[in-house]
Amino acid sequence: MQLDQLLADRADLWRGHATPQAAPAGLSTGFRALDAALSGHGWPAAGLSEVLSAHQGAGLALLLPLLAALSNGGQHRDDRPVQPRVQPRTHPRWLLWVDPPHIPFAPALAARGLDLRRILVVHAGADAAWAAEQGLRSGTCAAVLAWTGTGSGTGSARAERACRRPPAAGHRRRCAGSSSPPRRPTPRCCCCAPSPPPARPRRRCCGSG
Amino acid sequence: MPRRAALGRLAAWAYGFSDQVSLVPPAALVLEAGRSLKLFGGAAALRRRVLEGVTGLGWRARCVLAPTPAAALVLAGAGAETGIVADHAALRRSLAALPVAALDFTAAELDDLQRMGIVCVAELLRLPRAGLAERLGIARLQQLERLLGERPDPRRAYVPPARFRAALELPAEVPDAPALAFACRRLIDELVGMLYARQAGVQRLDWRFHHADGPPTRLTLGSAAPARDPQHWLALLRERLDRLRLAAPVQAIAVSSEQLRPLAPADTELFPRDTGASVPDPALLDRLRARLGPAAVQGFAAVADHRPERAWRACEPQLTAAPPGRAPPAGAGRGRAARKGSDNPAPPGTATGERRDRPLWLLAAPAALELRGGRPWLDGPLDLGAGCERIDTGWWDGFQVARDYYVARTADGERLWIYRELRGAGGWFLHGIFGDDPADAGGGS
Repeated sequence: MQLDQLLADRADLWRGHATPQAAPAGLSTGFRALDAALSGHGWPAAGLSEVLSAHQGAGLALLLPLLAALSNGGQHRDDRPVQPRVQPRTHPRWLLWVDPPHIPFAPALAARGLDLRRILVVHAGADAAWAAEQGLRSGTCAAVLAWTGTGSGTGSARAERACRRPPAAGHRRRCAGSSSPPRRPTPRCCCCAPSPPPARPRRRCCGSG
Repeated sequence: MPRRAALGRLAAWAYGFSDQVSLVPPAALVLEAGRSLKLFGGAAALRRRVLEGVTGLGWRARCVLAPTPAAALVLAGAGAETGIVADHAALRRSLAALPVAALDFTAAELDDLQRMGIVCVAELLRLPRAGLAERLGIARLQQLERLLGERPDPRRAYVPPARFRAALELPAEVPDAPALAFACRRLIDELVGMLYARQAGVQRLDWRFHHADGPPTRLTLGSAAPARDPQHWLALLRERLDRLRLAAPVQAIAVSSEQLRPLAPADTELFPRDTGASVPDPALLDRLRARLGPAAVQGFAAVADHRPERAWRACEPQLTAAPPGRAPPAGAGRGRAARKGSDNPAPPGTATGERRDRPLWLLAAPAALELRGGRPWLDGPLDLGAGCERIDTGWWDGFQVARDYYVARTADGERLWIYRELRGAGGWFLHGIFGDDPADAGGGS
């Protein structure tokens, strides 16, 4: 198959520096500058995203505006720089956090607009990949965040497979990875966020370290 | 198992077909089916479902539908070929063909009838009633009248128990736990039949697997919300059975539930709206907890307390409906109020405790920092910034804190929350990580 043909056919392949024409609209990150830089102007609306960062626990902040919007069923408090719009859903869904590196500090998260009642924190240890997979497959999570540590990446590979194997038809997957040259062992966080519309089930993944 | 108990369990299950079930010991149940016919699609369909259900629970049964309960009992007891007697005329015909011995008469009475030359019910019914009453007594006459539907036949309704209990002897010993799921399925079906009948769910099931000797192996399944979906319970059970080590082969299984809880039918709107009051699906929570244990899956909440360790708490994931207004846990105004009063302890639980100036991550235990030249050091000197926040409180509940908190920056710009201990031996500790909030990183907070 010709490379050009592949590029034309698939929305999830594009040449570097070129904005993909058919890129599906992403979910706004809540930061204008970041939206502008991302294809689809936001986190990919379905699939696994992985965020690598040099600092432990960093990267959650990057996801907070989206998580806040998801936890509130799409509505957002006024104090965000940009309000990610997420379509409201009939039922609120979980935000599953698998093996966060430290205690997620409730006062700060609540102040950033997260509805803490939606968050499930799971300490799964060796079963982390399994737990993330359960969250992804159940269709009851608005987003699944997994901190996969500095390991071999098998956990995120499994999560990626779970993203690809949808519980319902019409499921798309995109994958965006960003990496900076790691100076220390790089903590990783994958976030997989099934996006809301009930009629066309999709799932999205984005990640933070 | 005693027959009586088995009959009670069947009655509880039969409640799914009729709200009027009565026990007729030793081995019969009477269901008032008139009001259920339409629901189940007619007499034949109802009878088929009852028979299928009973067979599925491991019993053999005869099932007769007749216009009167007494006649249904007599016909079923006599092993009638026809399962459905449509009306009173057909009832008379079916009864007439039976021998009098099929009626529930004493041996003496039957002898008496035989001496009169009466062999089948048809001959008995032809006799004048007055003479019959004289010969057999008024009670027997009334019994006949009830049989024919000429006299009302009220029966004491069975009242199902408040909790579910059932047991099952296995036909052969089962050595490995996952293989038990098949047998457990039968008990779950029985449970679910009862739950449907009662419009109820259960939140906890206690399983006991009995061995030839030694104490039984116990297993408790919990559900975050009252549940009655058989697939749900079976999935939770399988998850646990897969990891269960049996000390010995299993001979019998027993299960009991806690109190049944009413299960509100799901309200569905014509035009569903996001009310915010509906609940995330608890099934995921149950699956995770079945494998990882209840403590490994938690929600958390902010608490209005100045001590960082007490400013959050792990809590049960919230399955209750949100309070009206669905405001995310606080308004900005209240947040400011909490900040303003930072030297007065805010009573826990009254405010919501949200603090924008707090780090996203809190270390489970403060980590002692190295000191170099009298300054805290973490991969380089830490820049302590402009000011500090003193938190000195908690003398009243045994967790006293006296610390000066600083927002420190590492050499490569990471923001950390560190404190200087004011009590005891002092020292510097790392307590939180701000986690590079891009919104705040520019101006600091």
